[in-house]
Amino acid sequence: MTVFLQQLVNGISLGSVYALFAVGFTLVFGVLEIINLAHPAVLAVGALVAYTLLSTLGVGLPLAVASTLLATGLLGLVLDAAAFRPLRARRAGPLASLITSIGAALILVSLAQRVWGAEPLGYPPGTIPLRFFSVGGLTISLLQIVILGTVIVLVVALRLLMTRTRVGIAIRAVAENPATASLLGVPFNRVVAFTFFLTSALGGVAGLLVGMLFQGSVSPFMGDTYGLKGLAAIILGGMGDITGAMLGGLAIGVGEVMIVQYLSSSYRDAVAFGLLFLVLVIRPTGLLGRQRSREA
Amino acid sequence: MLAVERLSRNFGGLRALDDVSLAVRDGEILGLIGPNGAGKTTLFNVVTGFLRPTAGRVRFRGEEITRWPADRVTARGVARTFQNIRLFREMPAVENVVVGGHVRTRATLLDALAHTRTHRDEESAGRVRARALLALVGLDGRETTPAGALAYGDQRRLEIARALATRPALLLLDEPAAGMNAAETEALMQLIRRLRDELGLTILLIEHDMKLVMGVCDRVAVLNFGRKIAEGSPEEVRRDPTVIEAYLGRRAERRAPVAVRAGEVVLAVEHLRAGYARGDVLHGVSLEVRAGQIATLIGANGAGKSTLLRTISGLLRPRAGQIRLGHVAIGGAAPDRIVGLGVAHVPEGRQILARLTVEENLRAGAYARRDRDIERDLATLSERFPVLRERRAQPAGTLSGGEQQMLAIARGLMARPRLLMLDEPSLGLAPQFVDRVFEVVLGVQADGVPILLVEQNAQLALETAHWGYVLESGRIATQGSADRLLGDAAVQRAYLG
Repeated sequence: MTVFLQQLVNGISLGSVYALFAVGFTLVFGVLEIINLAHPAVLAVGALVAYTLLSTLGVGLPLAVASTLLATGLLGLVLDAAAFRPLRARRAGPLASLITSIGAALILVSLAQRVWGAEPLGYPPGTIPLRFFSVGGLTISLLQIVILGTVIVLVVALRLLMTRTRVGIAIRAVAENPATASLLGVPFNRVVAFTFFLTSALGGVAGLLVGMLFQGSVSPFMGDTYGLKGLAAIILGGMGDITGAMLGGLAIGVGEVMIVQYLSSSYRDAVAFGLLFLVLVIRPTGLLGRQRSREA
Repeated sequence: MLAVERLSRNFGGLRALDDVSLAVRDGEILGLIGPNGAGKTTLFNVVTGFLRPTAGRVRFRGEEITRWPADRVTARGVARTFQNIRLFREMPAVENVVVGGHVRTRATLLDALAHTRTHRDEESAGRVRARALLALVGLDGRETTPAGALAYGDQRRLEIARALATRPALLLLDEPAAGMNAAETEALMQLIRRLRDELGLTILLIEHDMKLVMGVCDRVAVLNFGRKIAEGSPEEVRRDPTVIEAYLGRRAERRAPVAVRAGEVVLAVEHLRAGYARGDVLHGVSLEVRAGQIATLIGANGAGKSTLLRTISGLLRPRAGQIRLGHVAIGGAAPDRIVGLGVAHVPEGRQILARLTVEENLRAGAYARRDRDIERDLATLSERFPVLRERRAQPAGTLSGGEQQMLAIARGLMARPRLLMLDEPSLGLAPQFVDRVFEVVLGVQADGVPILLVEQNAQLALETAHWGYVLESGRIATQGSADRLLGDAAVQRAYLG
């Protein structure tokens, strides 16, 4: 039982990072109905920017988190302006945007390779002191606390933003019905740009957290694994639903850790897709998803 | 041929069909008319097996076909077209028709794979027949054109050809003339007559174009709120007071709008032309709304009322003409800018944001505002709409239709508009809710917000408004003070032909 609870804690801290990342996918999907496949590359850039901040510049963790948020947020604005907005202006379909997002991902990864090289990097030891706390037989590391704490703060902030602020309500209005939103005076392109800022900022921080969780995992290519898991998470939870993406991310994180504990580590990556397969068979709209109908 | 017996169909709490009986005789053309939401398409859907009835029976040539699946109904000889065109857009026209013939082929998948003689013969026969049908509907020479590339009227005729490929005995046409111009409608009328006279088909057709209905139908049945309210020759139906009331609304003693001296011009539309890819809907419309007034725009379905509102609020770009709000030209500006300048558009079908709460909907309505009075306005509106205060934290999608309409109007008012445009606020509402909505409309006007009201219920609209415009086929047919138009025969003509 203790082992199980211990692994549950480990799984939740891993899953919370997946969740943070997946929220980015789902928000963009909600507003634009496209999958932004450049999102994994943003995660990698976030981790690499944080590497520079922590290793080369030697800044402290709080400042590194804040700067990464801002840097990848701005990157999101550039992404939208360069890759997606021109397509919207020409009324291109979602498939065109999907292809463009793959292109944008390739460009970002190549640029990152130029700047940071292709070798995996690690954050300086001691970024988070190796310290452990015992709670009722469970061991929780300071790292896990920091990660969970960061994700919780960001998610609560996101929730408040989406329900209490003018821009948050505007994002949800656009996600539900862009034409109606425009009749209420909501400027579509500005809302989309802000959504890219927001999602990329969260994705960048997710990259930083992954870099801390797995020593020596930071590289321009690190996004690939998370991209697939993030997609699995949002389909699991229901496309376009923030809570669904969070639950999906957590489920995949916990599932992975449990499989490693009770089965074999070689099945680890099968979890995301096994779960995905199950959900699609049993409930094709995802756990919290609504039916999307093509009929008018 | 077809007998519908005491048919009912519920959607949730809504009774879309209420105990409807209808007999279609062999070889006749029967028109099915009625205001929006009367249940016409629902009747088609039940007859063709797309929907199951809640109660009642459908018999076709004496055989009960109630609850049969759609393909079986088709195989037995009932074909239909759709209100929204449903063609295989990428396929050549002729292929669309060939597909329709598949219900009549006997070759199995095995035959097709083995390329047997049965299969080949049927394939070529199907093609020959498809070409003949295209020629019949007047599409010869367009066989290889992809369906999506055909002109709009041609797409409608292609749908008919595809339905004919199933070799029906009974053909159901759902608004075949929707979006057609006068010449296309004329050609369609001839086609419908030929289908009956030359192919011996029985035809049941839903149509809003009264010229077509009165021109081709032997008999007409009228639905309203899911009930059949009249049946008879076109002439009888046109003169039936119940039908006139269903279309134009009932005369009732209502609070009159607060009398005002017509003030300065708030909205001026001049020679406006606008429309969609398939052509212009508005052909040079001019109108104005003055301070303190309710102006109403009435006219039959498809006259261009919603198109006009959509063009004013920027959802559609004008092709020619001027739109001015006060002294500012707003034609062609983006909708969020036009809203920012003070135009609130409450669209048809309410379009509330169902997943947002009631309060969030109201706050979204104030998006364009930067001032600090938003909280105060929220409080004021809660007093005017107590039901919205009670349901403040509820997702707006859980409100009833009438409550959603209240919310949509309240949301429009949150923008503190200089002009409020309402599109069909009474659509689909029960009578007691209609009265409440119009009480609210009068209250808004009394507060000094000018209103442009689009309404199918002409009687109600003219009782509420100061000035009326009658839109007919994209042109202002007549205008005048609402009192005068109330008794004007031209208004009735605009609706019932």
